[in-house]
Amino acid sequence: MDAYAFVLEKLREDDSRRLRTFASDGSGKFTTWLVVVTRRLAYDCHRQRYGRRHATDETDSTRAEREARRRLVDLTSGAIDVSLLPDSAGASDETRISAEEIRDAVSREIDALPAADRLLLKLRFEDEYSAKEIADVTDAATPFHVYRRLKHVLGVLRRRLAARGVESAVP
Amino acid sequence: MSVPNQPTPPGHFSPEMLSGYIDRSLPATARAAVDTHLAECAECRAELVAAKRLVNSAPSTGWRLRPAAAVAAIAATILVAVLLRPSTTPPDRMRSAPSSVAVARNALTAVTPMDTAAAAASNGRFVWTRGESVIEYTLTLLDADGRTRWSGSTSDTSLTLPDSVVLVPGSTIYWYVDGLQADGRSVGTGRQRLTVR
Repeated sequence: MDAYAFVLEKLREDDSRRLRTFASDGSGKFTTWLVVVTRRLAYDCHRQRYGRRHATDETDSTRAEREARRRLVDLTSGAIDVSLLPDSAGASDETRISAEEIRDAVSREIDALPAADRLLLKLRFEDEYSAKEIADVTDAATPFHVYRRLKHVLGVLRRRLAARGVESAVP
Repeated sequence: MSVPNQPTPPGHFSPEMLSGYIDRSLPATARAAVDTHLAECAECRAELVAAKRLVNSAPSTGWRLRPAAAVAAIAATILVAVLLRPSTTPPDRMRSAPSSVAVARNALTAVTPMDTAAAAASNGRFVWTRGESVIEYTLTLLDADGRTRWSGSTSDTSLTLPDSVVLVPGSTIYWYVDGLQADGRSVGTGRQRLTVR
């Protein structure tokens, strides 16, 4: 109820200033807009009370991104378990450099994809949302269309990486 | 990308952009811009998916209460119509009506009647929640123009209007309850608007 009261109070501030800024220009429904605004206000309320999360998030986020990159390397380079890759700590300099080159190549090719395709990869492999959730928030009509698009994008990545001489996740 | 006066985190897109993206009603160029930002911003992707879940949980697709944010969002949606109605602002004298004592606003909660249907069914009975350390409650009814119609006190959490008080169907009244606490402070329900059916 505190969050509810906080949200209402913020919405009523300055003669309902926030609500009046909504422009009915056909770019979205008022109810959807209100959900977005209210959710942000609810989080503001939570942060005011409990503060923001810090340090460990950054570490988790960095780790998640690194794992997502490794999964993508795996997916674009064949069915190889990344965990079987040689430990970089004990690897030779040459192997370590090769691994870095493969990751750089994957990163570059991902960055060269259209934004919608990059978003698709992030939602699936970095954020690990289901195909249904991805279909809900993107242009895809159904989860089937998400899988089909993913297959296409991964195929493009494989071909481009092959053109760069990257055929396998193993350096 | 952001719009002034909105709770937009720095560097992220505005509620208009996000809601337009969810509703798939943005122009192609704007949608592409949002795609580009989303592909780089994990925070906005999380917000997008969470907001979409909230939208999907709205009453039209069946009630499923989830986190506090969902409850707040849906309840706010319902109350926005009341907040934005321009003709419902009561006269100035009504604003100062409740009490000369400092009132802790809305510490009591009005239970019934809350709407026209309830007004018809309650047969002039007004109910509110019990307040901490309250020794006496005072129910006050006001006309639409702010004049006091009737006032009565009780130690209970309900009062029924006497027969002498006739509520005309179609008329608008306001009512509120003040609770006097043992230490002399007051709590109240705040003003409740009611159209008599």
